[in-house]
Amino acid sequence: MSELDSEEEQILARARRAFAPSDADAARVLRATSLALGLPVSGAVSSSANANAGANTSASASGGANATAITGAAKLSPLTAAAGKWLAGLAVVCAAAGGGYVYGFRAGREVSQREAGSAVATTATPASATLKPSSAPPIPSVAARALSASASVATASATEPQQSAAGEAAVTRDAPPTRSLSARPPAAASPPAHAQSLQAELRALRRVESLLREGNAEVALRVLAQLDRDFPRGQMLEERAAAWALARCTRARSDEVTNDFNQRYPGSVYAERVLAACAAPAAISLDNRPEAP
Amino acid sequence: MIQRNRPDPDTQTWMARGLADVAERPDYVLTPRAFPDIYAAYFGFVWRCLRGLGVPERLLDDAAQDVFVAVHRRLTEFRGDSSLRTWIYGIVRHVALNQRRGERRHGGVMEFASEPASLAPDPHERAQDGEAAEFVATFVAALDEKKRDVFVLALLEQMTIPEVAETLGVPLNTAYTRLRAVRQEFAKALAAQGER
Repeated sequence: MSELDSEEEQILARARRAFAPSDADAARVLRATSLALGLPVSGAVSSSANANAGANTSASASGGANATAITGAAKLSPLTAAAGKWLAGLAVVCAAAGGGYVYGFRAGREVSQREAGSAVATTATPASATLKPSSAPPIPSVAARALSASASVATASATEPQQSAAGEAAVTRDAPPTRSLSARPPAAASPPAHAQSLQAELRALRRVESLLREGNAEVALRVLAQLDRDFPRGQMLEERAAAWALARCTRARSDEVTNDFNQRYPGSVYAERVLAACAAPAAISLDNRPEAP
Repeated sequence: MIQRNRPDPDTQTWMARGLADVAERPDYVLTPRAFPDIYAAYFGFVWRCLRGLGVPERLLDDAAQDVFVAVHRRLTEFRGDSSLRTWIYGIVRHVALNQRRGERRHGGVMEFASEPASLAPDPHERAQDGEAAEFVATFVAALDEKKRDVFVLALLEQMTIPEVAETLGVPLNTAYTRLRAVRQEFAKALAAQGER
């Protein structure tokens, strides 16, 4: 690296920072991956314990197979600090081209395909052995709840030991993208209703997140309204409520929105983000800004 | 097996170090039980590499999911012939390659990839990070596969050249040669950018 001058180094350092994932990215992908694999996990997690995840993980773990499941999940938090940052970066306002519903989120499709096609040979480990968020508070609530929700999806993921990694990717790549929020797969191949709901929620919330990053609150609100109509009793209601609050406050800041959210979800990991988005600019302290990775 | 002489940024906790160490043992067989550890230790690496390899932001979730689904399913096949990171990078490369092929097949939407969102607290910093990332992404997209790998591993992931050589399965000298070439190209591209 010594052959690079300082400007080149600086550009690379900046790119590294921009390429780094957020905690929300880690949680979201874990959730989708777990869903796709049908990893059974039980137990909900108190989200307020996220802050000290790294310290707890380092201090308490002492090696061995039993500990790894717990600490592995716990390590998600220190990836970038707090799950509440999943909507960080709202400042980026661009004249977003009309938000087409083109975000392919294949988890649902994969699950339904595998459920239809797969018979046995599960690679999923028992719930108690795979992830134990109840013993490991630090896992972000987003991921924890996803894992919890996917626990009841009795998906047997077929083992294909002969298949190469490339083949693996090709299989998933060929799956047609899921388009509509309200699309419902054929009954014969469809996963359980709650799994469909979770997939739709994840899809919609990812879209909302993206829209809010672009400053496109109007479309975000429409997506959320559609989601509420399609799945009034979802599994990610707290995330949905946070998204509603952030979308409303992106359009117009309002303390009322913050208060309403805090009343419904006291101690939420999203409270800080909601406050930062909703409070009048003068009231936002530096402490409320997202932390550097 | 190449010894690491510098800790991977993602593997600085005892847990990840321990995992990497056991993964170095030739007789070690990883089981799906280790998946959460692996996910935690390598998610950042996977994500950054996918970005570096040109997967557009809107497809990153799917690509990362593909990687970890493959990792989970093939975990028991890992025998420590290479480091775990090398093994995972092989999967990342395949997934990124398939993403690019898929993009081309479906009309090539790579050009619409949004600029990566930095987590820097300051909006000005964020904007600068975004510009830098866009520049790097554009530069990487124009590289051939071999140089792209070296750029991502050596310059973005800051792996040592012996590690890069091992990861790519190329002789050390070849890795050095590619690195030299890609550095020159990068400097040239940056200079050209500055002149505009």
